[in-house]
Amino acid sequence: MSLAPPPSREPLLAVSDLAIDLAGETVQRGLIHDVSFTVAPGESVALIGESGCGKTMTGMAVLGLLPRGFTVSSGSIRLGGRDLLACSERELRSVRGRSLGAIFQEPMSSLDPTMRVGDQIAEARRLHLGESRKVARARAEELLDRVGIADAARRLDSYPHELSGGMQQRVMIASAIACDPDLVLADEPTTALDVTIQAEILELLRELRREQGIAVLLVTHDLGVVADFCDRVVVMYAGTVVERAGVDELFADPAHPYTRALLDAVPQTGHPRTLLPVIQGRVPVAGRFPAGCRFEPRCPHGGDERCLAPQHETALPGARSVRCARAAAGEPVTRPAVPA
Amino acid sequence: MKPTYVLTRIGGGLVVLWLVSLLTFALLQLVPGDAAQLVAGDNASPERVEEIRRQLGLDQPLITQYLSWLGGILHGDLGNSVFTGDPVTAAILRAAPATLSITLVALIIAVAIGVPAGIVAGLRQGGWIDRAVSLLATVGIAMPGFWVGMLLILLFALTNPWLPATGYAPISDGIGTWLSHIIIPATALGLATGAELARHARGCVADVLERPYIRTARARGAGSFWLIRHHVLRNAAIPVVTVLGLQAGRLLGGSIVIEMVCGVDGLGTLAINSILQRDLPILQGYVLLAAAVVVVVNLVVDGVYGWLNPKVRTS
Ligand SMILES: Nc1ncnc2c1ncn2[C@@H]1O[C@H](COP(=O)(O)OP(=O)(O)OP(=O)(O)O)[C@@H](O)[C@H]1O
Ligand code: SF4
Ligand SMILES: [Mg+2]
Repeated sequence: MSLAPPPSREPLLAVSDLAIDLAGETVQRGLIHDVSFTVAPGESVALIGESGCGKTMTGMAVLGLLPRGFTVSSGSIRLGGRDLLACSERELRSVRGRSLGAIFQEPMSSLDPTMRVGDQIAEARRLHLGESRKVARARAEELLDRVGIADAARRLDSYPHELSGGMQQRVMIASAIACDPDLVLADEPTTALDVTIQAEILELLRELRREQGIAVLLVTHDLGVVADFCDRVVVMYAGTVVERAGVDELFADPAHPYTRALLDAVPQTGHPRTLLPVIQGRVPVAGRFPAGCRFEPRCPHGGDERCLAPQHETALPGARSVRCARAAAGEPVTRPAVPA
Repeated sequence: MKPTYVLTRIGGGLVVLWLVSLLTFALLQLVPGDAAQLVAGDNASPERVEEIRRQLGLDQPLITQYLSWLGGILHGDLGNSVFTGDPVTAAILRAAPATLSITLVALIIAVAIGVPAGIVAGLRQGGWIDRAVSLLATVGIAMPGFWVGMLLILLFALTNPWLPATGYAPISDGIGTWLSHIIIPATALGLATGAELARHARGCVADVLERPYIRTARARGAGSFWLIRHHVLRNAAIPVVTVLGLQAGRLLGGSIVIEMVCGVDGLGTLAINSILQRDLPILQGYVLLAAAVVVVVNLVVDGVYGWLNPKVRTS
């Protein structure tokens, strides 16, 4: 079953040529570089890549919540036609939690330990809709029920530590969808959970998409989840997007050597928890990116003259794109060696 | 709050008090040589030494001594001063209001200045307020209380005769009179604690601001004011309150020096004199009272801590 919307629709979220620098003792330019992708209304887009390749950073830029020292140096982020980078902090606040919800990896530390979960769910409604605490809590009860927590009326008064990890993540989801957002940013929402709970949480997100038409930008390491849940995939490597494609096309015929390596690394059985150890070498440290293709040191085709020049995204047939001169020229690519 | 939490805290406080009573009792046994001789002084006649020995109960078996002493304490009888013959309880009750006034007002000053300053510094890390607070806190911690006391007396009592230089007036003389006597010693005593609290509060706020749940709240659209009111203060208060409990004991000890400087007849002066006069029953009474105050303050702190922290409050 594909949830893919008709391709003609205006994108809900459009990130174009995003670049992020890190200020500090040594300024690091292009920590995130040339990142472009879109999410259509109701669509689910996966953001994948090894640890440290900039997925969370990209998500934080969309939320306008980059950590101290990080600044967007160029590009644009448009949500529902509105340029978020041109927004004042006040305007951004009216977007966060309203038309843009967020779910994070660690539900326990992402919920305030001193606040009842009912109040945390009600928070966005009080902030954005000006509801009184009482009214918002009544709505929070419905939301708790909606995300599958039994005995919602009593659970409203629970504190996060009184709930299991799965229930905490359900609370996070309830708080993220409290104001009926158009888009939910989910940064590894299941990584910290047990396998069976992971499936339940994904099922819940799927239901929300189906019933409320919420679009999801899903950051994940789990290619099984990507295949299962997402319409399109954005593959990131070392702070840049190396490939974009529909899920089926990507799995059937990965264009970039890095994508190919990621897919080959998925064992037939079992669930890969991380993509880290499967490709020889490491993601280059931010600030020490190669001048040419950022994947060149680990690529089996590296050393080619074309690879030593900075790579640009090239459109491929079928609304795909790849950042690799070799793949763009239609030459075959192989996957890099896997450590023994 | 969980009954087990309350009971363990109260039980713990009682155990501490009991241990202190043992140590205090041991004071008599542990003084080098003969305690009765020590108390009586070198020139006392043998009869006088024997009288004091009887008075202190040192002629009884140890366990009898301890039990009758403990029984006396439980009835509010801490024995009599060897020096004046007055009941210890009366001497302590006479001296306590001055000391408790000074420490309490010192605590209020410390909290009222230190906590807000620390919070603002933590919220404005790296800004000029933060730098000013950190500088002032360092100065406040470095300045000895007795020196601040002398400085304040010089400035506000001697050079400008606005406040009395020494002495204590009970609160029954009127709040204004009472406060005019208290304010210099209390400020001198509370300044270092305020500086300590400012540093700690700054650290706690800075720490809370880095927590993921703050990011979550901001992702819900919370602005700074909302964030501080609903998330930062409540979470930062938990560790700050803990430190407050530790500081209360420190203030009580610190008041000894301040009382000497400011000429206040309080518990500190009583304790110092009892040491100089080898008046062991008075000293025992002081140690017990100080321990009791610290235990009670810590119980209150534990209560507030449990009230602030849902992990303790709920099962
Ligand atoms: N607070 C920070 N200060 C400095 N550098 C940071 C900070 N947070 C992240 N980085 C760096 O920014 C880059 C992108 O990190 P990011 O967290 O976006 O990666 P990620 O793809 O989300 O990884 P993961 O899969 O481990 O979550 C990394 O090189 C990381 O080391
Ligand atoms: S540009 Fe060259 S080095 Fe980079 S991925 Fe393509 S083939 Fe490999
Ligand atoms: Mg991440």
